[in-house]
Amino acid sequence: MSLQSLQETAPLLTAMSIDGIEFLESVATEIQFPKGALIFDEDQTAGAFYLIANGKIGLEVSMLAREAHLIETLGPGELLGVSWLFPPYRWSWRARAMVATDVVAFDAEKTRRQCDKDPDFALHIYRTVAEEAVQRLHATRIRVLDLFPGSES
Amino acid sequence: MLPRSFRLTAKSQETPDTFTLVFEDPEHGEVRFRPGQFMMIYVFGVGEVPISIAGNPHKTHDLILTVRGVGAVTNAICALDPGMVVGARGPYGSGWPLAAAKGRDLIIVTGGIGIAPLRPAIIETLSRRDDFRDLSLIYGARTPTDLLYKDDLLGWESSADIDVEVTVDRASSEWWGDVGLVTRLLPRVRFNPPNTAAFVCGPEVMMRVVARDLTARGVPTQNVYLSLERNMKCAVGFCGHCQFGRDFLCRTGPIRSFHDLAERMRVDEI
Repeated sequence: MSLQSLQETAPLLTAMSIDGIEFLESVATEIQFPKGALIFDEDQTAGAFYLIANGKIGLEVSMLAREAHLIETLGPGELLGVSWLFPPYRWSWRARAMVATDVVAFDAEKTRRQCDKDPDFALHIYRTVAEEAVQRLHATRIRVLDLFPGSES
Repeated sequence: MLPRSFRLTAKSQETPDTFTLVFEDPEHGEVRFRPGQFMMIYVFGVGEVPISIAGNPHKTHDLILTVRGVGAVTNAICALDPGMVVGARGPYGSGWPLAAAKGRDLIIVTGGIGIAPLRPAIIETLSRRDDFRDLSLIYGARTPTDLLYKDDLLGWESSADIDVEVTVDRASSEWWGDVGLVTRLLPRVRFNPPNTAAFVCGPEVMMRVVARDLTARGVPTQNVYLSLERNMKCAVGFCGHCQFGRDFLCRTGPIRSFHDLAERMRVDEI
């Protein structure tokens, strides 16, 4: 799949310059994860970040003696991974494919180096990640209110 | 204002505390209603509460209500057995403005028991599918166990006529669906914002956030409709228990556009 084909649905690629797209293509790898596959785990080095093309990915937290808790799911067009952009570059959560999922994986270290070299590219990357993080923060704050009555999971 | 007598003919448990009840009025027959309207249900000797009608608007012989037991009256309704009788008056209130959604994309966003007053609207839109462009339902609940109308959801999900997205706040590893706030699913459904109408029902904070998100994406505030829940008592605009600023919601609501409500929805304790 070409990155252009994902441009309409992925905020990461919307309004990105042609040079930026070409750079991302040069550090991209397409990966298919079967349902249930572990994509990364807590505390592992965040060596890549991912753009979801098709499917669904769940972010989990290990509960040690209890089964892992599913925090949030991400779908087509969404970015998986923020920790790759900020030290110590280690994943905070566990990510698992909820269904058969196609992603484009981008090399994190090469992308960070490109950010250091190209301020316009860096602005786009940081702005996209910040907007995504803010949306998730807002959604999490609403969920903390525990608005829906009902049973425990 | 006089209640009619309705006899319970069937009852099914949706979740541990929520039941769908089917009533009929053998003396007077049918109950005609618009999707989104509510009835005042009187349990003799206990009290009266407003309950949204959850049935098929084309099957007016049955009065179908989905009730969550949270207080004396609703617990008494949930405890009814087939053959028992309640009083019911209505229907009251404004319905979902299906005419205003005609020719547009329609997004229905709901959370918790808020899906009950929207069920008749979903059934109605599917019965005249050609009146609308893209049709989507986004439904959130606390856990998978708390999802209502599971049979309906399966049917709607398998239909090409409506895009159904379901999410929960909490889930175990046995759940393979979505987890997160309903707004996170908006990018997944297809709509052309300037030509979109939205029907939203759920906790008021959720509705406010959904309305803000939809309007930020370009849906006109006049086209976003919310259903507000207040303490309806008389249901005919006399007692004032359901006052929401300048409106008595039993008469001029419960469904209003976000354009009318936005300012008042920022007022504490209104």
